Amino acid sequence: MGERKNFGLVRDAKGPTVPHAVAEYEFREDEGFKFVRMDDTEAFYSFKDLVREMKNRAKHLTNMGLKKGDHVAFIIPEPEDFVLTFLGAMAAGIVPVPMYPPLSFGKLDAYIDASARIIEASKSRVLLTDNRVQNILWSLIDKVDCLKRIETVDSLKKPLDGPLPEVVDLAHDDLAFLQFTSGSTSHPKGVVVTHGSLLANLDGIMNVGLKIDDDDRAVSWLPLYHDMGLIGFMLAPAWYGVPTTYLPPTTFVKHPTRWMETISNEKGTISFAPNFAYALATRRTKPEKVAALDLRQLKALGCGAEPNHPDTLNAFVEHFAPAGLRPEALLPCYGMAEATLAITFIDLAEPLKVDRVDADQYQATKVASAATDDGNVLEFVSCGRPFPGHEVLVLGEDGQPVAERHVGEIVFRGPSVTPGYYEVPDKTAESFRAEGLFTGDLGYFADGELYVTGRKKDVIILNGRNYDPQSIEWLAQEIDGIRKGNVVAFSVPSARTEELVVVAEIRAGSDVDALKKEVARAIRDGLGLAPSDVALVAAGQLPKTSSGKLQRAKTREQYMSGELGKEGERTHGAQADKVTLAKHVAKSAVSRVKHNVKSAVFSRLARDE
Amino acid sequence: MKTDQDLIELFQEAAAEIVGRTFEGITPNTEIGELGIDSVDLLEIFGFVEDELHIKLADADLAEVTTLHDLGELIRRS
Repeated sequence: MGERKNFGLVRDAKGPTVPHAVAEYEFREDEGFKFVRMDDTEAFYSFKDLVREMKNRAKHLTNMGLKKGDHVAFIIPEPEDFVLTFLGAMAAGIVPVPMYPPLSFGKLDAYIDASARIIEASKSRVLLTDNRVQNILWSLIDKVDCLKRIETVDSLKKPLDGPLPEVVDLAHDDLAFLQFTSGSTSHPKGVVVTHGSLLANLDGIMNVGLKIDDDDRAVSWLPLYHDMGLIGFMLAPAWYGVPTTYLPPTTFVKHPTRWMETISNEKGTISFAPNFAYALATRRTKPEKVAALDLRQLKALGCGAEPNHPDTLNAFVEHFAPAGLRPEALLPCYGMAEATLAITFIDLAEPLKVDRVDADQYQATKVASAATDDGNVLEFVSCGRPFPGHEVLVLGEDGQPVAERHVGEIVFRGPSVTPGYYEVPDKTAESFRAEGLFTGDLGYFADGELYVTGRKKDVIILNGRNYDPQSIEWLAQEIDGIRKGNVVAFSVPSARTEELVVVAEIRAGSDVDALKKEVARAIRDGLGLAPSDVALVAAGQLPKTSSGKLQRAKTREQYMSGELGKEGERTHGAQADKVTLAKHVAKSAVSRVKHNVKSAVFSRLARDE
Repeated sequence: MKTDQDLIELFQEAAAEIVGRTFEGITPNTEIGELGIDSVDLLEIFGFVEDELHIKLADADLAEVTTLHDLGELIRRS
């Protein structure tokens, strides 16, 4: 590993802020950010160019009448435009609200509605977009009261005459940006990221987690509207002056080989992605391609934002070993937007650490004790430890810390914890408490390292994106024949990542097959998601509390054990249900670790029957 | 890539590789969104098609594709 001199410039939790830090790199003309565009052409900006672009765009934005503290929505698909404009906004003290661009093949109506809700919740006055996308976004002006203008990034590119402005003064409690955690909810929540929480987290990530040195180079295809890409691969390298290469997210998904290829070509040392991307890269990179790659220099391949599956990560390490990938390069971590980004990292020098626990005991007692030779086994990946100055607690139902290897709710405290959600006091009070940030995730400590085991909150994470179950359930219950308020959506582990399952009660005499198709179609049209199973059950089958509230976790448990699906099968007797049931019994939490390629192929074939 | 039939065969080949299903009986008028393929898998399928045909489909254009015939038209223009 090289040394960290960074030209004598200090970067820590005290500062400088990201735009001030960028401005200090004006002397660096050889290294910078390289953008692979969506049409595969490339653009390179040295750090000196970045400073000029940042200030030029800041001046354009100010000329538009925007000022420090104004909120501006960003729907900018091209990474080059996104990064330069984001830095420009920050330099002027303007608060960006990054939003996801329209999905290919998604239904536009649902996209526009979700975008309208975010713009409204964020109180953005201006929407910045590009020439192509603006054509479909204009209806937002009529839908959202606070939105006054839509501007394209092209209007920010022209070099301006006269001196460029200096970066405005920024205090640690000034807003840096608003991070909306999910576009799919009916009441979107924007996490308030201040310069102070951002600096505290960047300090931990770069100085402690990644131990950045002068030889480091980052490569990323992560979406920039999502915290891991935005903070980890735009703000962190901009702050620390790390040369970075960007690929559009869709380029990676279409051509998964490009990720490792780019790392090989650019001599990348750092890259991050959610679990599903490791499965994709393994599956789609042919062995002869692997042999042509050089991944020896890779020191940190972070995996987070999604539950980490040991099988997926181990398969990746094995698949890319011929390219010189070192097992210790894999770096599981844990975090969330409410904590700015990172909560824990494993030590850079350590390989993947998998804890094998006794599954039966775990399920019965919520204690993760070491697996025995003959019993069922659950495997969890270590997510490491928090950064200095931060603390992670695991609390029991009574609010007291639980013993080692006992499962409880993960609570995080320290300067990286954000102030809360923008103007949503009740949700803020729920999660941001005196004891710290209640993450809604469950986990345990073993030998001082954190293992994240599941979620307390009913959040569904699919392909790295958060969905709240209600938004999926609402779509299903609008259908005639489905009993309103009696739909439960959840995810189950699959070989690759997580799959969506919907269980709904139906009215007697309904056409089961037709209803299944309709439910799947409504979810696809509304959110662009394809459920792996829609299980329809008779009235009264879904587990409820004594007060009549649906019990999602229990529904999921019953479904996975076959209890709920069996009932459905007996009621309706469809052959397809039996096969589906067999598939999901095979996928129960216990057998999750025993998954191999064969079972994945089997479940896929089964689905078609 | 001359005809829609060629595309259907290529699409089936890609689907078999990526989602493990071949979608027997699809026609040029089949709506891609009706096939129950999630958006990540679908993008992968389009990537496969790009590789096979040595073309590049613009993401913005793909957003306007509804049927396999539409996709064929887009490919013929690319």
